[in-house]
Amino acid sequence: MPLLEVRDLIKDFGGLRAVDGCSFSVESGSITSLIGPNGAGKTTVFNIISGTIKPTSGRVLLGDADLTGQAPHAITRHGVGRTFQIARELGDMTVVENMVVAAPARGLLSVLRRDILARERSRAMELLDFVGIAHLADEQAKNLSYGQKKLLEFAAVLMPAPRLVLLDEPSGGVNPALLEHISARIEDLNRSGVTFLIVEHNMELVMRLSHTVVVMAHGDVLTHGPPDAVQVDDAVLDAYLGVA
Amino acid sequence: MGRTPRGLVLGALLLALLATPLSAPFLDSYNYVLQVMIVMFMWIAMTSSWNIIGGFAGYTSLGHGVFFALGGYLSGSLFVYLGLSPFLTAPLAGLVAVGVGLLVGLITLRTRGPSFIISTIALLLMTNLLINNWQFVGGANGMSLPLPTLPLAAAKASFYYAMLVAAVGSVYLAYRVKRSKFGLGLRAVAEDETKAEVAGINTRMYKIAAFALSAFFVAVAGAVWAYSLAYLRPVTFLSIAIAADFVLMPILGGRGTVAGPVLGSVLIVGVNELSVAYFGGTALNLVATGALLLVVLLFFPQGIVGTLRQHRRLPRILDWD
Ligand SMILES: Nc1ncnc2c1ncn2[C@@H]1O[C@H](COP(=O)(O)OP(=O)(O)OP(=O)(O)O)[C@@H](O)[C@H]1O
Ligand SMILES: [Mg+2]
Repeated sequence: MPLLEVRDLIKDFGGLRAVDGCSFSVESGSITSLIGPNGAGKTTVFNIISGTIKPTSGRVLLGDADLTGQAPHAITRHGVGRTFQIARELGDMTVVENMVVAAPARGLLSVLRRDILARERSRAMELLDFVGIAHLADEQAKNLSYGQKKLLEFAAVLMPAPRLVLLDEPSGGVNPALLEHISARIEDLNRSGVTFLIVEHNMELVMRLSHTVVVMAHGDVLTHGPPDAVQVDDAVLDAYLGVA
Repeated sequence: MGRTPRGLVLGALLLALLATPLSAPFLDSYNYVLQVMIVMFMWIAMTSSWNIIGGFAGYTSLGHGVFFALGGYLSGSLFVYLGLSPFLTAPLAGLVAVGVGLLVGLITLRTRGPSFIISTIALLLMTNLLINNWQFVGGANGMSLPLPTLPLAAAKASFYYAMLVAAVGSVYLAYRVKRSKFGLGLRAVAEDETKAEVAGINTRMYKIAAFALSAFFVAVAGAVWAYSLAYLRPVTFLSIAIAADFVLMPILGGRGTVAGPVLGSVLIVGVNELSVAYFGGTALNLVATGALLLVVLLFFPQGIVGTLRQHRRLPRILDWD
């Protein structure tokens, strides 16, 4: 059963059609990768799913809910979390504050409570420990290295216990040993029921983690299927080499 | 550690402020000192309130003079036409300002950055035009309020206490907001609105709530100020100079911090008074304020409290966040 379904997405930026009739679905409980050459439209699709840009046309469905055109915060509250290709930390806040901001209170009374509750701090510490940056908890986020910022964003997106996590290039700027660690974390979380949609250029990682690979080129889906089938698809190779 | 030295010092300061009006028999310049303090308290109340939207959420409003005028004219009219004391109607004026803030916020907060600033200036100009032509509140000629029946010294003391209550209330409100989840969300909005929104914060609602809340103590201060002036004209509340002070004082002290607007208000009102005392003229007055701003911001680009905190040099006595 698909958890997420995007149907016939089109996005025009002025004269440029960045997404051109893209349709695919993400099975509930799967790790699905979205790959394709630079400029294929992957991040734009993420932006549409998470609501930060509105599609020119097409729909985004999460289970029975229609997310199309909803505000980003509403989409997040449906249990969809995302990270950014270029880590986007709140630099003047501490690492723990960045974590707590990622799971905001709802309702008037809870919004008036103390900014960081003890249980929120302990959950944040758990997750920071999980990605190996617990020792930086009270550091200003702007003082982190780029890789550490990516790790912070990965930990923060898990704060509200999302159903579906969209990761835009989780390997970017992260050293290979840590990357092992992160991919192990993704698999752990996936086993506990979290669905992943991952944009990634590291093919080794993609082939190892994914149940399904969706290949995009020129704003549209070129092909999709299990990693070993996609890997030997000539059209995919052509797209990457710019022949198609 | 319930009893920190900071708590003691601030408590003592508050007691001293409460006791000041009792010093009448010993002070030659009693009325003058109280008047300066009233102006300081007024600006502390107003800039601490402004800081909720302008500092925490990072939306620079040049339109808060509108709430200042609303407080003054609403309480003033209730006094003139119904005989209700502005001390009683000041909180009401605050609530009305919150309501107006909600409506205005719904519209102006569709914009951000420079467009937002310009939309708040437009609001100021429109309100100025409205009041200048509204005869019910005296139009451009202004409106006289009945004089307080108390003797001058007692009247001064009552304005003093009313403004002190507004100042303490406003600082306390800012402090509570700063430490709440609401305040954390506003800080996220100030830094990266898209990120805040994706994190699950209803940024539009947060901003509108912050804007509305920031109007409350500005209107309360306006009501008390109007009573103490006894004669209201649009320019008293809606001048560009006043609109600028709302922004300059928090920037000088450190916008987005709780102590910043307080420090900025004390400094600017203080320098103003000193330069009036020494130079008399209004032009030099402005030069003195400008010079203060320039020098301070050269060395404290984040405002005094902001920059000291960044360098971990902020004395605990000024660390109110
Ligand atoms: N906000 C925007 N305004 C104008 N054009 C945009 C915008 N965002 C993306 N584009 C264009 O849309 C196309 C797809 O960009 P997108 O970022 O989605 O690619 P991508 O597949 O994520 O690439 P990469 O692998 O390099 O991250 C590009 O040509 C890009 O220049
Ligand atoms: Mg991209």
